[in-house]
Amino acid sequence: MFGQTLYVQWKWNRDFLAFYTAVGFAAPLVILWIALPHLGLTSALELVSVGNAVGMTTAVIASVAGLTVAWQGYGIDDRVGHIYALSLPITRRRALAMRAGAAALVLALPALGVWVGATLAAGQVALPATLHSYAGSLASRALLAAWLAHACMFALRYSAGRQAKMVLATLLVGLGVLGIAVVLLPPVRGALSSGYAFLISNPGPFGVLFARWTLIDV
Amino acid sequence: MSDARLVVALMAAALTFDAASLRGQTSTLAIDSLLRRVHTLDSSLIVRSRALDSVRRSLIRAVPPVDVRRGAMQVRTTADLEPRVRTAVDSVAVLIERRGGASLAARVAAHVPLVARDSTRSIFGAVPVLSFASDTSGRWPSTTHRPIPASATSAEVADALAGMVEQFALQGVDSAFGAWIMVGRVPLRPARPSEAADGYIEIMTAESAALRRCQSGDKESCLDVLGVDSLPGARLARWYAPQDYRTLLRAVAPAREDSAAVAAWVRCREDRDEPACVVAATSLANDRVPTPLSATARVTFLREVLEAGGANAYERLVTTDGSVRTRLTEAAGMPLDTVVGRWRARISESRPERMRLRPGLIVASLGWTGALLGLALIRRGPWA
Amino acid sequence: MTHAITIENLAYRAGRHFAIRDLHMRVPNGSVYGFLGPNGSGKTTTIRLLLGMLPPADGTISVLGHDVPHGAHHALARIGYVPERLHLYPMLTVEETMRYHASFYGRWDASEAERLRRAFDLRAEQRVGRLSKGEAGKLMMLLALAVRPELLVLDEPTDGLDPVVRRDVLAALLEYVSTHGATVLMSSHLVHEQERVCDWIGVMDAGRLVAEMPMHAFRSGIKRLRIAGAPAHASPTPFGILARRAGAGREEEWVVRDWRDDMTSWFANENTALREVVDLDLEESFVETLRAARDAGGRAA
Repeated sequence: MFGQTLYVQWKWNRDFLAFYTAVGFAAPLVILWIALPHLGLTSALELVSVGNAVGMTTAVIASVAGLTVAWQGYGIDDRVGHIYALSLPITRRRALAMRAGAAALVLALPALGVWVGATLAAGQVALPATLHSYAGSLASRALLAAWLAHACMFALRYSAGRQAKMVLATLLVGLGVLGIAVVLLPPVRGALSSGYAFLISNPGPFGVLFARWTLIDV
Repeated sequence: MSDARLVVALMAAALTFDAASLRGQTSTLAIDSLLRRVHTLDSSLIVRSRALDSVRRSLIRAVPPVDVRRGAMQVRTTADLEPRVRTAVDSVAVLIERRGGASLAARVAAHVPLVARDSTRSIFGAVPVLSFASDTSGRWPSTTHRPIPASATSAEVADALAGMVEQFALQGVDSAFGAWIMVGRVPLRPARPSEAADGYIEIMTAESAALRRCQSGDKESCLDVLGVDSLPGARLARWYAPQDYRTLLRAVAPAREDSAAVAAWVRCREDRDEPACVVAATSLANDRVPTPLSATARVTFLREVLEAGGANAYERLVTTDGSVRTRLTEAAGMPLDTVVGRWRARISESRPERMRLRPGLIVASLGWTGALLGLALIRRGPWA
Repeated sequence: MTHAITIENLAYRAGRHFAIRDLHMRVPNGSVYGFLGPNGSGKTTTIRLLLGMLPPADGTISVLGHDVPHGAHHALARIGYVPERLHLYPMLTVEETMRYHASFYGRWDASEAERLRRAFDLRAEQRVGRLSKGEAGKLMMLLALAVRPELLVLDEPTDGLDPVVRRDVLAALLEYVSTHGATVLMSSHLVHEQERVCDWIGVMDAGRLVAEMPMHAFRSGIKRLRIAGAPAHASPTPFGILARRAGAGREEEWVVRDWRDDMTSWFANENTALREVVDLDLEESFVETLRAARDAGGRAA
């Protein structure tokens, strides 16, 4: 049952997954390929800056991949009115658990692409002794971020309880509102920052998304 | 003494002083006596001006009534803030006793900071804050500290007061040392967790030939990049290799009048033209060549000096005359080479593992993922 | 007689109005139950309620001994369901759909599924989204039959299919039913199809079941009588009067149900002349039943 669910998840999303995996693989290489001719003599600051660019791109790719897989999965059932899913002899919880598990597995593909691409990209550059490459750490972050983004969209799409949607909406809106408020209201940063800091740092819900994302660092 | 009586006493003192100085004048027309009279009048004008400032300040904003003292630390505040301020003062007084000794106590005792409620403007209106002023008298405070939210804890108030104490600690020390430390304070508080990490990042990513020599063990180069000695000669050649020029020219530009150098600077930055970088960099005046390390590194080094020197390190730092190197050596109580070794070791240990995936982050991320997925299960009925 | 489906006092609200109200329904085990009704009468809604897809507002539903919707997934494991529209995932091929479907049913008969696929002439590698209407109907029937169900729930399974496909689908259905003795609930507005296949009939109109009886009673028990000299107010009759209409001259036309031949003696006792007894086909019986139900509802209002 889970095997077939996994297969169907793959079939639903294979075009998107192929795209995100390819982009995740190519992004570090392309960014370094663009930056390398201009680096000239290796500059530690510039290498860190390039590493940051790779990291930010990876974060976006991972998040979008997670959102897409969740959106796509629900959308296909929505197109056929959910009749097929409802008519199968399986409880809703078990069905959703299998879907989420299958999605977690397929989302490993873009992370794998990131890992391979980042490893190859870092190998193209002669790093000074004070800098290191973090392809594995970057790929792990990408996987966690993809899972988190998938969970957000999965919950939004599948939860019908008003309370559930309100909790999720509060988290997401709160993140945006607090972020804006902290920027616009420096004097109240102290009051708001504790809430905002919780949201965007460990152990808050979006800690992994706002952690450091870079391929090259000290 | 109430505010009204204080005003009267100050005015009487000003007038009395003024009358006495005038009554004491003789009618001799010697130049030196005229000069003495001018100096005396000048002094009386300064005192009168300060007295008038105090009067003006006490009329515009009264000195808070509550006096909080412990040791050398004295603070004026309001009744509602007293509990927090008292706890903060106790904490800062301990810091003064432990780290600064008598010299610091004397400097701190010369000031009576104010802690009072205030408000600051934001786009949504007034926001309540706690304001800090270093003195109860004088129009312009000698030191400043930015306001903190009115809901600040006593620890945060103590941190603000300690920041002012660090600034007091540098007062009266010669300007050469003040210029060297750059930040206008002596680091007496315990280091923040990010300070050493910031130092590590700066040292490991800064582009400088002298810094690379420092990293490979040349302690004199370390002292050089820290600016301990004002060495003669070309700073560019001493600190930077040609490979560093492009990064250097991000932070500094040639003089505007030197159009050839400016053109080379532009080519260096935009076209990555390495020969142009050399032209632009070598055109920089010696005093415009920036030091390889910022104030952050110097603060960490000074902190290491004070740690090495123990209890009386600060005392020796401020009472020693001479060059920056001499001061630091006396404060540390050991050769600076040894301090450099300790400083490098501490920096090396402070490598921030920013990209390390901590188990806590993994657990939290997976936990939130699971919680969000669990939200999807909250439904009594079927799918749609 | 035990029942595969038992519905008591069922109510379902769609929006502000009740789509189903006071529904009582019993589908006997082993029967082929025809679920007749005009478009919008609530047949599909009733089917979705008894499959646990919709939550009832009131009432109880029991399917194969399981309480629905709480135990719906247990019942669904023994049910083959064909909805009125294609409900399968369009990007899967026929073979992939069969494999996916099979993974949820322990009773899946792979050899029977393959036999049906060949019999229906469905290509394994063809995507479901590219199937014609007839092919899609055949695939849905294949999936429903291959799980070896005890109960088949078919919602307009032949609607929109050409006669050849319709014949193939019904033939496969009847073969299965005759071999395995399964119960069938089949909704349709194609009266003649129901007449050939079903042995029980339930007529639904405006969210209510207005008639439920064996097919032979429905077919043979509803007659049109031509009467002369009918009394204005008839005394209690042994048959049900669905409608009274003026006929030619002084004659009247009565549409009655539960008619038996020996009931002609009632007219003699009433000094009323029974001129003619006309047999109605299923469609006419269906229309008269609906008309009578609506008239009764109008009078009640």
